[in-house]
Amino acid sequence: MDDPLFEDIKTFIIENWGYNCEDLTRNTTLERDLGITGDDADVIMARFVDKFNIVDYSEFEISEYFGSETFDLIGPILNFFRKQKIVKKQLTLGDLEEAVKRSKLK
Amino acid sequence: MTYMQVSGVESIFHSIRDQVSGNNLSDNSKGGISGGNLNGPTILFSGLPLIPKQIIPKSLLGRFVAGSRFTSASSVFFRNIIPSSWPRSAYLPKSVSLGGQLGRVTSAVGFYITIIQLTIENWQNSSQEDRHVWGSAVPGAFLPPSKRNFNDEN
Repeated sequence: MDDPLFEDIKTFIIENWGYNCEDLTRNTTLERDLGITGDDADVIMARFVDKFNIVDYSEFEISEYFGSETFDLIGPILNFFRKQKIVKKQLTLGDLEEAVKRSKLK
Repeated sequence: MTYMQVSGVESIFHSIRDQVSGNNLSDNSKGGISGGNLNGPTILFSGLPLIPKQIIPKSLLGRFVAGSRFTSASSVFFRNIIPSSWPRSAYLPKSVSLGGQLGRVTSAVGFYITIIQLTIENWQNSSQEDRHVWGSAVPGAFLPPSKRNFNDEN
């Protein structure tokens, strides 16, 4: 049994997303494992900061973690011509737990 | 009178069929994509993520709209007209709401309509000899030529 905070985060993900939620751990990534991407990521993250009262998310750059709406045509083409390739970071449930503890998402 | 006729479902099917084939369109838009019937490509492109999120007001997609990401017109449209409380469909792509699911399936629907339009257009523009060659998609194509019922053979 995980601690209550992590259980709350798991419940939040199950209630708001519901897909691929059979085995949620702290290492579960939102985009790669759960498939949360595009506009869904905007919606989920907005609900997350509301529910867990995250007051500081000014340093959180969502495009570093999530891609465009599905079937992205432009992103790979732009990335091909960039000198410095964009490597997407992965946001995990553990990161969300840390954000709630610090009340800061970054 | 069948259930479909009574409920009006049949007329909806006929309407979709006519839109796809261009049957009820004005003369200048008949004849498929090359004739100006751009239903399929329009739906296809409305579902592609071609709009920079920076130009979308935060009131439409939420407070995290930023960065170098793109969204589609259909996603913004359906997410804002369909309440997020409506139940999601098990038959549509994964998304957080029914509006998101419809936004994601739009490009696929447009793709298939475009393919159907191109097929119909090719079929209408092809000669009888061509139809014999790729006639395996035609009912009766495997019958001997004397049994086939093509219009110009009557």
